[in-house]
Amino acid sequence: MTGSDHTPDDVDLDLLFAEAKTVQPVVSDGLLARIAEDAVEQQQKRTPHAPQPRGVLHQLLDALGGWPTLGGLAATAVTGVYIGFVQPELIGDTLVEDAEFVSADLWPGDDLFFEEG
Amino acid sequence: MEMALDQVSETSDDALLVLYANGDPVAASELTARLAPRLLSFCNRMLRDLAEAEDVVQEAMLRLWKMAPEWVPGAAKPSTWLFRVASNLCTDRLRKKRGVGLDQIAEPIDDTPGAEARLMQAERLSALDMALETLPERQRQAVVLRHIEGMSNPEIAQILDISVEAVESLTARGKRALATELASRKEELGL
Repeated sequence: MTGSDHTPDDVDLDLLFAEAKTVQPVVSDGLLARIAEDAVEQQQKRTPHAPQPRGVLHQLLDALGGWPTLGGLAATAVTGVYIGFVQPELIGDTLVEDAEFVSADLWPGDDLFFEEG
Repeated sequence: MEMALDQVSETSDDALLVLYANGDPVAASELTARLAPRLLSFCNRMLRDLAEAEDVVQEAMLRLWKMAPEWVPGAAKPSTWLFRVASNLCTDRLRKKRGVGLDQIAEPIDDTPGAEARLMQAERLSALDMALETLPERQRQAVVLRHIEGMSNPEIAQILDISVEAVESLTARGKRALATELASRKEELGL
């Protein structure tokens, strides 16, 4: 029996396909373990660290407006200290020259200090 | 982010992949359980070498894990993406090795009652695998995906990166070639 008299139309491919569907290779424990290992490795590579809670100083800095604001404040403070120590009389002279009609004493503490000294 | 075990089975592949990318420890094992068996079946039928098929499945799954952070939910199905990767990997391997011996056919699962019936089924499956191997790669992929893995033509079109019409043409020609190949053994195989 050669079957050479059969045409392709006679072949029941649906039976073959149906049987093939029922026969599936089993995924081995080894393969499952390898896949799981890869998954964990990839996950650990890119999982971002949880953000750390910000301290009081950072919160204060944020409230002030951040580093630019702090920089401005620092520059102002340094300038004030510099003027105060290097040429303190400049402030008084300037005020007196420019305020001919001003009778109010803007620096009462100074007078008291020099009179007593 | 961690998901309760009883919620896992109700979650789509799409959502599981996003959960995995966000660090969920359960999502990967669930996705593997859903996708790996079909993928292994497809690769094994393409390569006719279980060890190689396992390597391809591992590589395809690894690429899925790597791609997960960039996954756009709703754009495609993870299974389609995965089969496409696996299909290309199988093609690469098939091009490197030509001619596979009969002894490398994977052992089928024995779930039929009689020895004679088991033998006959084994013969038929062996004949099917041999006939599949005579087909051009694209035809073989299309026939396996359509008629054994039960995928739709549009899904196969995405996997093979061709039109639906081209899939229909490939499967039709593939079936015809299979039938021609098996016609001479019709009675021997009980077809």
